[in-house]
Amino acid sequence: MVNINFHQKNQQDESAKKKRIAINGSFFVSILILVISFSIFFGLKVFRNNAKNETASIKSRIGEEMKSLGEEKISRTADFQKRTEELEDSISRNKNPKEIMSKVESLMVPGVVLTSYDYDSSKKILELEAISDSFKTIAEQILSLKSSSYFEDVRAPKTTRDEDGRINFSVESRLVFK
Amino acid sequence: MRLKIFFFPAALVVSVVLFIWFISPEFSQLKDDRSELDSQKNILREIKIKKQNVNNLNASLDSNSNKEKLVLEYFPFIEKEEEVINALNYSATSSGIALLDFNADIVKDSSQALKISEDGKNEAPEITVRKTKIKLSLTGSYENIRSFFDQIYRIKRANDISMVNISSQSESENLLAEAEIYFSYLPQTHLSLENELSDLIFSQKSFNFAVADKVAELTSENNVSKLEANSIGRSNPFIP
Repeated sequence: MVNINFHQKNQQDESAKKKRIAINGSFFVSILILVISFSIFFGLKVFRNNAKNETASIKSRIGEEMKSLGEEKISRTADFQKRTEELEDSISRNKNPKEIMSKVESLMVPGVVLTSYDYDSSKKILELEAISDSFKTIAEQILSLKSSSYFEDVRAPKTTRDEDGRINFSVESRLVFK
Repeated sequence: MRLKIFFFPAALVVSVVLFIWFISPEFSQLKDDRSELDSQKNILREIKIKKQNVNNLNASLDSNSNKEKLVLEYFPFIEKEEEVINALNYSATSSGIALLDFNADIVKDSSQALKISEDGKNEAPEITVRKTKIKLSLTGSYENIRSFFDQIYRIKRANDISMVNISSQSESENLLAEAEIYFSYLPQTHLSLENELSDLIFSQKSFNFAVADKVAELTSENNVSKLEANSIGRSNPFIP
């Protein structure tokens, strides 16, 4: 029995030792957890401060770079670019009236005399008024304009005969060009 | 010993609280700060590139100063009405037509008005093309009128001959013509340093001078003499 009791005491000592080790271990783990947590927290603080300082330094460098650039230089550059863009658009849109008049000249039929030439560049509409002695020449004139790829929607809305027997007529057309 | 037993759960609780209330917000703020830092770095990089481009573009303008001058002469900062009148007169005289009537109107553009921003402050108006409309009537032969319009088209001022009306007159062999011509100008663009160089041009390394070449070609036959006011000053302005 003595031996049995002695053995039980040994077991108790061993379990108490294990318990102590476990408690001590958990204590150190706890300390470690706290150390890690606070390290992370203060580490983040340091990182944030560094990032803020670096951002402030870059912002000040941006300001210096902008100042060194000079308003005069950037204005000159932007102005020339805007000017050329507007001009490119304007030049490509405009048509020399001489070119349109030359085109009309090349399509005139004998026996037809112009009395009015009216061109509106915003609508690209050309209205011609003319006189002729016969309806045949008027028809030929309309056909001549229609045969040109320069004109489209050619129509003759009005035809009247005057006191002298001459026929007044008008032709409307839309110019086609790039 | 008991204290030690409770230390582990207490440390866990403290750590969890630290993570939830301090570390997590700090981490998200750090992420924001880093992204702000990255964006500022990008801005600085872009500005350096654009600064280099601006210097290259200015050097390009310096080496093509004749083209820049031509563009500024053709499409000036200000109206320069006197030059328009001089050019019209020169074109009429050299074409052999007679100018009968002449009216000039400045075409008002509503976009030039001051804009009000969302916070109620006045914003600078965007600089847009401004135009002077000239209405004129003239008389002459068909060939001369045609030559006149050709010369106007080629004068060293951006223009748009928007309306041409030519009609015959029963009592004269000469034709009567009426026209509307718009002469354009563009006020100077002033960019401030706060504009952040957002214009696309600052991403380019060089200018395209094709438009300047077109203008040079268009105006090559134009010989309008430079306008100068000679012998000015008279004691009585009411006598000739």
